[in-house]
Amino acid sequence: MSKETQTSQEVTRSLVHRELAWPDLFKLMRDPKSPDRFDEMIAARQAMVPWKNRILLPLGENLFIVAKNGKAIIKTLAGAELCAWNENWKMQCRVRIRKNTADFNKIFPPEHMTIDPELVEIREWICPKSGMLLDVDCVPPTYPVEIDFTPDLEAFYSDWLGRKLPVRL
Amino acid sequence: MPMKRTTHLTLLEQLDLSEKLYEETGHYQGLKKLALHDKDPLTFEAFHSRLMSTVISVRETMKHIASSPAIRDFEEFVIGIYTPEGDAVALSTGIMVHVHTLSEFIKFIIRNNYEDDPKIRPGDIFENNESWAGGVHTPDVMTLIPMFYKGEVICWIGSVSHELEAGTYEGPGMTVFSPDRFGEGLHISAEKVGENDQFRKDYLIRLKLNLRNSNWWTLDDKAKLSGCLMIRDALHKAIAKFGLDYYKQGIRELIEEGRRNFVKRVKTTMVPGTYRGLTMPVHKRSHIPSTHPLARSDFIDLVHNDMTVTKEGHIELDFEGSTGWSFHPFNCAVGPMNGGFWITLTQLLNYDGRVNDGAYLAVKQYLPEGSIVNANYAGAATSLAWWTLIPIFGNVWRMMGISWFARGFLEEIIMSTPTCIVGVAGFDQYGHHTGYQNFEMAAESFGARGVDDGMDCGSPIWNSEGVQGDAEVWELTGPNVYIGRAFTPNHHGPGRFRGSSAWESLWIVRGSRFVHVTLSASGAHNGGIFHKGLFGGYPAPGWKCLWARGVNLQEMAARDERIPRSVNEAEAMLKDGRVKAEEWYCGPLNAWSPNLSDGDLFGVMYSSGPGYGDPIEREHARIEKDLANGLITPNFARKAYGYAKSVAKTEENRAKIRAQRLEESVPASQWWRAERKRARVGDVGKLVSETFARSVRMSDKIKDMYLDFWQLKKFPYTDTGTIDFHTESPTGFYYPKSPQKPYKKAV
Repeated sequence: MSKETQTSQEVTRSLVHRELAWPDLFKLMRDPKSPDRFDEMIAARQAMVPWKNRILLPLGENLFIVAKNGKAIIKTLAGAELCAWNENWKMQCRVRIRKNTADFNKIFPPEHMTIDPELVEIREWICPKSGMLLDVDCVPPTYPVEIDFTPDLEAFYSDWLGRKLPVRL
Repeated sequence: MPMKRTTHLTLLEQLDLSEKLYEETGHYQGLKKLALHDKDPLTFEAFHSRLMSTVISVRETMKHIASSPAIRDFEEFVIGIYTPEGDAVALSTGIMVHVHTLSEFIKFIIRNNYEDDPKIRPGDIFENNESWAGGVHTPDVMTLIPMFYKGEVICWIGSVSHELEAGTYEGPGMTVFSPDRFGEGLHISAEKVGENDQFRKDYLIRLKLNLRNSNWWTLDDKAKLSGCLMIRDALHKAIAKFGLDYYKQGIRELIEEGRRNFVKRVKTTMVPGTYRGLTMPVHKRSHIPSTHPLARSDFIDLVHNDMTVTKEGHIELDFEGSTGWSFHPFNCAVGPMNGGFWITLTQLLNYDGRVNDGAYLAVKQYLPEGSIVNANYAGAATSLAWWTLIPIFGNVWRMMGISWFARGFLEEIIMSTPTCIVGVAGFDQYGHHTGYQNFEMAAESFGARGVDDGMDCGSPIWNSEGVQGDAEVWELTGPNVYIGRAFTPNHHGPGRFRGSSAWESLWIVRGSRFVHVTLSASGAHNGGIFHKGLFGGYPAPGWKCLWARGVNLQEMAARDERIPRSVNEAEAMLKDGRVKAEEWYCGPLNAWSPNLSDGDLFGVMYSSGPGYGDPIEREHARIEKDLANGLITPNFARKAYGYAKSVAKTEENRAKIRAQRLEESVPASQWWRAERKRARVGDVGKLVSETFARSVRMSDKIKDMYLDFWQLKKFPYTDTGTIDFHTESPTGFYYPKSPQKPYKKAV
């Protein structure tokens, strides 16, 4: 299908699949931001996931807040249901900690690796079902585990999107 | 009809009235309606375009008047128009950090009653690089003029340039090792430096005597003043066309429109909620033999950052929990933090030509007084405030990326890189004393984007127009010749979209017997890490610098032997003796070399950016392109991305990597139980232990998080490693302050 005849939904689907060429991406960057983008993106992602729960908000490429039995939960792309929407989902994952030079050198070549493991550890948060990386933290040892984002779902749906949030919080 | 503005108020009364009207109405200057805009949008747009085209075209002309490479070649300047109250109306392209710092400078002048003393008259020139007066650091020099029309100030016109040399103790414009403001060079503290459109002679003599390269500063000042005068002339013509009342009302409507557009854009592209970030730049100076006793310390600055996007479409940053200021030049004051926020807003949210102070009305920063983000010691140095700002606001970029992802605007997601600097000082190839930072770092590039890799050798976070510049310009600027400038293979934050590739430069000293280098990096140095990536992308490895004294390169060249072309190659050759040096260092620590001479070496491996997404989701074609371009090696491609020559084999490898991850990982709850024993006793290194303790000295936030998460009753970290030292804030004059929010433990 030529770009000229693509609908906005199709463009957003291509964007989510990272199939747009640079001229099309530039156009998206320059154009006024469409208020329809969120629904189009949700539709594109809903078609990508192997489960039926309604996506309320994506938290990462492989992590979503979804509706289940009238409640909002966090679920991975592979289907692992981790916790309630506002809980620390990382604590329901598997985790691999890199805390010495040998561990770091499995990612970074020794000639470039100048991170001091006594000061920083790398925590890899892994989907318990698929083995996909959901997030990678770099923090001082013993630093509490934090999640990067807790949305204000009620305000987002009710005040910004102007529609009822389809779950009870 | 446009509102007729009163003319009999003092600037202070106008500023008070403006703030009162916003407080009472929530609209800039109480403008509930945009009368001019609504009546005739096309004329209003023509008015705005007139202002924008003026500032942008004048900026281009200024390049040809300026002297320093920073302006002529590397885009390190900006010029703009401000309301009489000091609010930005129209800004040129350039270093957007100063949209609001100039505004703070004008408000400093107004609130300190300069109208009475030293008077504000037609033709006056004011100058500032003082962080207490809104500036960022001594090299960022602001030049400002009031514009009068029929006896009334109708606007301010201001320009800022980054000076490569500022009279610092070390030599380059930004000092790495000064403990306080008394080593960070020449302060121009919101002063009147000229009258009748001319710089005063005593001011020019002061520059000559207090700077090593005063010609750069002086001619850049003249370029900025010329720019201001050109804009003043252009505004007279604009007023002749549109009318004075239209002009006065129009500049204020532009700001209110900017505020509305900002809120609208936030509500259209972001998601309300709380975003969290942590940066932890590591500072080490105790290994430098010549460090000042006050500065002889190693520590981590922990900066915790909550970003809240409110239901109203406002953005608030809260730094509760951050560690305190100290005797180093990495402190931030309100001015630098506002500057850091502005590089974020102007590049990520307000890039549609309406860059003005309207957005400032919809954002707020809570900067705990006495912390690293709001140093309250009168003698605090901010010369390298960027070493705190760059990681912080790089992380804010990352957090905004999470928001755009959730809303579906993947094309907006972008991350940053740390900045690394090479400072050169001493005597140059012409026999003159000199000092400068090599601003090729202005092309240090950025981290991964939501739709592509980070741009290799692109602009940095602090200047969207930054460029590397010609090597030849830098060879003219100082006593050095490039012997290598290239990308560094296998150096980036891996991810589905990788961070930009690192690159490096290696120089040989030429034409000097007395030159030394200072080398440092913002957050990637001293064993630290810049900040995390997004959605499974890895951070980048750190940086490296090199100096070598008494090197036999010239002998090697005479023997027609290979000389090193990169930092890693030089390090390997120094280690195995192929290159001989009397003394040398290569590694991640801040460095201050001894005196170097003809034929000696120095270099830097600039750091790369963090990655986006799980690396094993990286497209096969992207990996092959990097291989073809020499940005990665086959071994690295296999380890980082599971790459094999066919897509099918790569997928097989990736399945093995996923299985390996599951095998090598443990449930987080299991890790928590084991790690809790360590957390209970605080079994960590000295620097980390002291960091936690220093945070608690400022606030209970991190302690409360720690005790809650680990379900402990007692915080194990008590020794800050420093004396508990109280200092006085400046008194006797107004300076910018941040709102404070008393800490309350989250329920």
